[in-house]
Amino acid sequence: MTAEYAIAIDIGTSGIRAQSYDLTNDKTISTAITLRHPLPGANVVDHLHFALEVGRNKANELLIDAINKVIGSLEVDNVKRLSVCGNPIQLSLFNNIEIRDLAFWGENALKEHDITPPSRKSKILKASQLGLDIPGEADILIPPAIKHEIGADALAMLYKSDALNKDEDSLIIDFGTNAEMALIVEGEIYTASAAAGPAIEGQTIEKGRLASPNTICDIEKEDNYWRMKVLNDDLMVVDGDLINPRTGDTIQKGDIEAKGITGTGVIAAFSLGIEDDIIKEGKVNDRIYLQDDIYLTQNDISNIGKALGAFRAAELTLCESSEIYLDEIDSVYMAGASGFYVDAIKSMKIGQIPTSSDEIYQIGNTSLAMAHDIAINPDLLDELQGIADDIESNHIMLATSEIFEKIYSLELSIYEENMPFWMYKEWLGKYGFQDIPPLNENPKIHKLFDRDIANEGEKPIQTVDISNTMNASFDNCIYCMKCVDNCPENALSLSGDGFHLRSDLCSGLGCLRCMTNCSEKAFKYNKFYNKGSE
Amino acid sequence: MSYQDLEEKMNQEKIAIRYNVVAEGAAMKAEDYPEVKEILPEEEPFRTISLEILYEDKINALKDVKKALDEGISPIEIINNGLMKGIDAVSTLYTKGVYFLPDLMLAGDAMMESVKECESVLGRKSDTKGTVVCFVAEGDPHDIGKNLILMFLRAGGYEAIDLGRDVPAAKVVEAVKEYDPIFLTGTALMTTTMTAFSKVVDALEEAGLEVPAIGCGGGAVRKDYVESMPMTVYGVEAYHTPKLADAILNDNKNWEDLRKEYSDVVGEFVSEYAS
Repeated sequence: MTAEYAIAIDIGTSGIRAQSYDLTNDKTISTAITLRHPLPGANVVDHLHFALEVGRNKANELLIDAINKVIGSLEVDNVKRLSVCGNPIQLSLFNNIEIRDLAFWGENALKEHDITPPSRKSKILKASQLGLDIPGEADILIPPAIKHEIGADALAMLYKSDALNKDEDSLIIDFGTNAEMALIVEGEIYTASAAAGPAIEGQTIEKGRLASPNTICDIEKEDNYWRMKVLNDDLMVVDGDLINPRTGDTIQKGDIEAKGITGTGVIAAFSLGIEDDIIKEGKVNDRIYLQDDIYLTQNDISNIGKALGAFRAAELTLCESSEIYLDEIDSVYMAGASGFYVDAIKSMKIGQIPTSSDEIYQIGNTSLAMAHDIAINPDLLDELQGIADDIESNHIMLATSEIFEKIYSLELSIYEENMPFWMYKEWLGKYGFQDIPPLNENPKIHKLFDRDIANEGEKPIQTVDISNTMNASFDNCIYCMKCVDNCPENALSLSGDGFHLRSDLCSGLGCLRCMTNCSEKAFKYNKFYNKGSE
Repeated sequence: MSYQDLEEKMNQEKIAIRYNVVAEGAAMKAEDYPEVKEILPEEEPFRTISLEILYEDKINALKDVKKALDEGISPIEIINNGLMKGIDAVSTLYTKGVYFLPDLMLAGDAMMESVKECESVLGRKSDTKGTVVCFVAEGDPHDIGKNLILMFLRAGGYEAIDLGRDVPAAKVVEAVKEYDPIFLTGTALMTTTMTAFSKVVDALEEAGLEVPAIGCGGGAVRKDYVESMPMTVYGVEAYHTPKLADAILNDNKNWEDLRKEYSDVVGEFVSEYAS
């Protein structure tokens, strides 16, 4: 009998991760990742916005096309089933169902656009229905959302952390541009979703990049200098240069070149910057200099600061809403790639996770791990639906929470208006909220694997090129190249009289620097996809 | 050694220099800043009331406003000579970097509650420089920006009508008919909801209505998008709003003028309008 295989896929905002398994022995065969998402955009709302602009079908087509490329690079045939996991927007794009209910908030907008929110319960489809390049009769297993915007990704972090089965109060955070959080207090679950912003993934940072080879992902102090920790071609951490962050002088050369910095690297620089007094009251005088002309500007510091502020404000809001003190939380679970690679101590020092954290678990990519479990055992889908139904989660809508508004305005005051931290603490007291607990000097950190993806299989991880090019030309264009020169992602190029846009690299409708920098007002971004659909 | 341990070991009588002045912030009281001194009234009970707003003390502000009203002091005078002076001082300290967002929010709340108290005696809305209508784009729940705009407008002497969040274009049109505002502001945080602004402009045009300007701003709002339609002005900071309203009211500026003269109107360099 020929071997049968299963595939698990995590559709993340910053990329797709997939694995194949041999169903006779449940062993991992191959792992493939992409470094970008196929839709233009720096965050999931950009993806959503793009999908609204081009239409659901076109967005679905781009996503399925990229997933097929990933499946191809896994190099397995005779696939019996494929499971996916991701947030509700990505999973809705994947199986091409209504997304507009996730794009707008409020009764008025839903009525105006005549939107009926679809069911996001668990379901099993056939590969042929979705146009996936595996045998048409293979099952496609889609896990349930807990409700509306709390998706299968949040279910994954709850399920894989096993926090629901432990008799303790715990905080579970999925580190990403949208930080999903769940606080479990005496068995009761409180959830929130903090729009931390793309800075957490290294985006909107001038020299920032998603985690990829040659990016600075951590920094450690050596004497009075900073040692860069850089990802190599296998995404393993190796020593980079030793640098004086105030001047950029190289004290000692490392073995690897750096081309950018990841979100976790920025967090490390932020934490050390505060420790070394380079950042004072949210402000940096000049720049923070790192290896190979990588640096952080005041604007970068402000962006990462506001993102970290969203974490802290959301955690405080959850605790205030559930009437628990931060230092009463027994365990903190950090899920997601960023939550895995970030130095937990630095994350604590700058308040991204509670300063009082005691037991810290860095559990990695729980979405892929849950998709794996489903792929191996499809019956789990029913069980997960049961868990989702049973979760009477108290969801706290941060955008409309008065507590969050008060605390987030304090965060904005720090990072935009340079309010000192002692004043922040004073304000918490004035509002009648709990204080930020002192730093726990000796937290216990549990990290079970070397990488955020466990069991990568015998073959090395494949990085899949999902590049997709859209073309357009513009009337009245004088070819001054301002559009191309101003593209922060080098996504735009010109040959002949036609412009070519790499949709996977493009930051999308939240950026549009190509269009805004056009001196002739000739550049029309939408020509790329209107033409593409002809 | 922690600060506390150190303090216990020190002979406090021998300490002549406070080494941590910066960390503890300015020793100067809010009322002692020269700019604030110029604003605050001398005469009682207005001075006390204005100080209570300055120090964000809603409970005592309400108490003293009620007392003054009981004593027969005109509610108009309490608003103009007490409450407005206090909030003017708060805005000044905010612009100076002494006060921060939460100060604005608390002082603004204290002022608005006190104004309501005065208006209940007055039997009508108090006179203002003009009316401005403020809304959050349809489909968007994020309203911190709009709340700040309300605060700055009210501090600047305007009647600011709050339409809330997730406001459909039709409701904005109704409000424009009802209040005939000199200025309209719309805010959005999500890129997906920014498109609501063009719907508002279309709906106003369809209803044959016009406002001198619609200030559009917020997290994900782009200047080029705002400027792709008529009637709108890209707003950069919440505290610019009353200055834009002043320019409309006093100098008859419209949206086209404001786009050209934004930096001059708000009285500071604004990089978004630099080129």
